[in-house]
Amino acid sequence: MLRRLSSHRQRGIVLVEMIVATLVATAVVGALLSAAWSIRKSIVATSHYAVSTANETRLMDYVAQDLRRAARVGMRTGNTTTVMKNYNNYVVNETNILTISVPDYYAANTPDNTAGSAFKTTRYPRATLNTSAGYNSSGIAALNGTVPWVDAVTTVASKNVTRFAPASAGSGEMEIRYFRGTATMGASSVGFFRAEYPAGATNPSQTRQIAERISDNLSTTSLVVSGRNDGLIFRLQSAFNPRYRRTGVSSTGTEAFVEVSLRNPRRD
Amino acid sequence: MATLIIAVLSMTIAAYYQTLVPKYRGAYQASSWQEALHGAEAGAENVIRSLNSWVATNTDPNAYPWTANGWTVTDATYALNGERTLGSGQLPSLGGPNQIRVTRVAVDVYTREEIGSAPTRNPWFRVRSTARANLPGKYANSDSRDTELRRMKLSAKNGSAADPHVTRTVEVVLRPRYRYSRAITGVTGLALGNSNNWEVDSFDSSDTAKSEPGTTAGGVYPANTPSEIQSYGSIASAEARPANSPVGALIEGNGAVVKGDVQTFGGDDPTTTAHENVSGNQNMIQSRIKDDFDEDISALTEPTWTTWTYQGNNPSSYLTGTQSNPTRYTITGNLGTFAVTAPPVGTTGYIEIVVTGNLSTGNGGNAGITIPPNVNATIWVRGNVDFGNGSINANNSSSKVASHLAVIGTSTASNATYTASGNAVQYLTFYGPAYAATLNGTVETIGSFVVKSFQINGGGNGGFHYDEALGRGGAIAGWQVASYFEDTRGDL
Repeated sequence: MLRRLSSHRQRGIVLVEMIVATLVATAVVGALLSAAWSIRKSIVATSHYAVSTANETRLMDYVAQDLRRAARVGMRTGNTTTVMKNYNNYVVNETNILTISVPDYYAANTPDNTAGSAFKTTRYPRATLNTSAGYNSSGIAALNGTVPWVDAVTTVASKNVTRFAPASAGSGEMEIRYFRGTATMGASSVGFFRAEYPAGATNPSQTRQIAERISDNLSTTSLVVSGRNDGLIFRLQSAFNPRYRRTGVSSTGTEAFVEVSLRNPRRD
Repeated sequence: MATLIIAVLSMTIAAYYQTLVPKYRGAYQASSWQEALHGAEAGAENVIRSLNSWVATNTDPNAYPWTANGWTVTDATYALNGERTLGSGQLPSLGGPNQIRVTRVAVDVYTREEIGSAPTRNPWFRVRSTARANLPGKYANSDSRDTELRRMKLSAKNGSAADPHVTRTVEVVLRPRYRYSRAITGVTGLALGNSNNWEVDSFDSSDTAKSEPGTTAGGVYPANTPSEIQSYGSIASAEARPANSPVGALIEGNGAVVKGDVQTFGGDDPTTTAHENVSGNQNMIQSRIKDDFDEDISALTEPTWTTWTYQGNNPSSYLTGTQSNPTRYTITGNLGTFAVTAPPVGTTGYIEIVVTGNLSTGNGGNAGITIPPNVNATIWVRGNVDFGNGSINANNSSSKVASHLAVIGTSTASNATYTASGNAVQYLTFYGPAYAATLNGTVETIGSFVVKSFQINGGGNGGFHYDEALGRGGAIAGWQVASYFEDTRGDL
């Protein structure tokens, strides 16, 4: 009896068993593939989240850095710039350009990597200030090694303030423009740009794309600027839409804010 | 099957680390970058604090005790204007997980003031402060734009050990803040005149376009030429609101006209367009009402003399000396109406007076103080000041320029007072952080006050007219930021 039963077990699997096994295996593999697909989508969405977070952080850090050292802040549309002081929710885009004038601090702003070029060297390095006896017209030794008063200071609102560049160099301010646009070189995606316009220049000395891939059919990274306290404090706001759902989700959870106090007295 | 699951999970984890970790690394690096800026600004603040502490004991900014406080001149040949750096042992360290610390602070003289025919040549200091913060690791993140902005030193080494860090450098130019830099400064509250005709404004006695012809000392307030009246008659209160009620009035405007900045130490609600820090502000320039006042107001002490021109209670005359050797009178007791004798035409006389009692001129047509146009007088008063309805540096023999009469109240009593009344006219500067100033009636004041409190009872056609020339010279009360710049060069 025992032998008979044993021989019965060795006959192989029946069709039903094979079908069940195949179905189970298919289900398991399907579940695995589905999980892998979901994980992949999650990684893609999380990657987008990380890139967008870095974009909005970098974007606001750039603007905040320039605002801290700003002398003027404006809103530019077309060829017209208006002063920005108390203003709510200025959305920076292709037509709304944020302008920030900062001290024209460096001896030259046009990129030049040749040895000894003036690019990004301070205008008044201590080493080059004239310390020889009586270098100034009055011959007063106490003034040696200092920037001449006429080149160092100007008057704004009845107060003496620092002149950012020699009197012969114009306003001594450089205008920085922030705007949204499409790169014409390299990356072709929509991004935010920062362009530096030296005093009196109509063309920028350099333009940098500071955040790329900021807009597609599911998500757009924004930059919104508000001025308070008569333009002495600015509030920067940036947000984007995460991709965790196909239909997109609210940008509320991704909003980031920065408040910046201007360190220089405003000159506009 | 188990092998398949493990393989999928391993690939998932690998993809996570390869794709996401470099992207999130930027968040930590951004944090260190921000912290380095806090450090750099702390280095500059440390210099401002030192300069302000030296003001109290050094009237000459060229004699500040740099060396005694740990500073070393880089090149001894140029000790006056050249660069000096703070010793490494005294550089501020902010600590924290990223070990934020100032790595270098250098100060030099950026320029010297060349104002007027007898310039002070007071220095404007340039402060360069660099600080660092540790980075979480030596690896770059996934976007080179972050590297370009933050200029991180990822491969830096300290000896043979990896020392990834980020530095930031700020350059701040500091200018002297003179003792009389605005019309009225109050340690506590200010209550302005409740008359629409009473106003605070400004003019410039050293500028013929901003004043009417006056004396050889300078022009006078252009009351008859309104177009020459200026709008820099600023007022400020250093009083703070209670901790449990941070929003509310610190200056009572009472409808007075103020042509200048109106500043308080807090009190405004930034989320509203109203200026809660100043009540009755309808006749003020709304865009110039701010709550960012933050200056230390220190008491002054009288000088200690070893020799005197006169010591007693009733000198026969008040004569003058030179700037380097002024006459010195100590009045034991109270001082009333008096006149300083003018030195010869073409010379300038200087006189210093210490009053151990009250300075009280009384009332009447002859009450007052006469300071000729070629005289500069400084009076230290231990007691109260009462000018009645007198003519203070305002009669036809006087300079009619505020910088020629400085009255300094040295009392620290809680009930010290400064009063004037009726139709008094006073050209002077008054410094008395412990004095409650009260003006009754139509008092006309030309100059500048630094007082404990300020109150007008009435006001009428009187007013307070700040002489802008006062803000460009005289005693230094502190140092303030003239310009700020973050130097973004990568090699700093």
